[in-house]
Amino acid sequence: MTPAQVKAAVASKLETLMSAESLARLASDFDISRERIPAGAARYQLQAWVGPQTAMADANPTFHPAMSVRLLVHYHLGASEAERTYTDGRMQTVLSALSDPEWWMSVSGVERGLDEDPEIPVSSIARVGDVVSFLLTLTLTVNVNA
Amino acid sequence: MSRWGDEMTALIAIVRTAVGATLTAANSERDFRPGELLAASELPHLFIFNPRSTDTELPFLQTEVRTSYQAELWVDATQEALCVFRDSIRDGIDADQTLTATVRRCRLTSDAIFEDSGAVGRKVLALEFETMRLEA
Repeated sequence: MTPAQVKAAVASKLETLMSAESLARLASDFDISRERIPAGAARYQLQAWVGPQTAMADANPTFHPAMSVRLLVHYHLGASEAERTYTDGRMQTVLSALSDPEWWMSVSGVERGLDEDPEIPVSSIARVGDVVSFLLTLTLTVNVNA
Repeated sequence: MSRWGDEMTALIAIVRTAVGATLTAANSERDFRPGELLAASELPHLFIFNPRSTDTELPFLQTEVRTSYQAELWVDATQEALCVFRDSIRDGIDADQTLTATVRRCRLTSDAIFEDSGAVGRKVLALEFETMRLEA
């Protein structure tokens, strides 16, 4: 698989995971000033690019693309929804899934074994206005033979 | 009703609760007139006026709107009575800063008492409120 196909597979799996929040990707993976997020819905930005290749352990070492991933998820609290209803509830479920390396290794085209496990710094979880955001980073290896 | 009108109505409710039944609905105005011209029968009298909003842009096209209002409560009463009204108004806002879910937060940002030199015994409690509302 190509890195672009893996990126698309990540996006698809992510949107399935958060279908209850009508998760969709923003038009920009960097700009947060142009689009409105409807109340009770989530949007994400997926910054994922191929980095230096990584060697796979084998009798005959082969090199596969390593893909650094920065995933930002933004959820607009629903009308009259208390912040903690989301952060103590649904957000915990999503964070639990996304911080599990198995979730990522089950994405089509991702090698078993990640270069860097998922990490969600507590300091990256923040609220501005009615939008609660978090950031997840990891580095995965693309299985070019998948 | 307009958003400013809603907020001024909510502020009037706070002041009327603090002052009591003597401040009637008819004597509580979302408007301004020179208080010196009020008839004695119109006291106590409340004016809320001069709404002024400033907007701050937040991510995802959210807007934080802060609005200030001036208010004048004209009374024929002692200074201590006005001090008690002022405490009650402040307590009323502290008890529910959302003004019954009208805004995100309301604060009493300034208050002062002065005496109208043109009308013996007539005093004014001048107040400034600031509300904050989030618009998405």
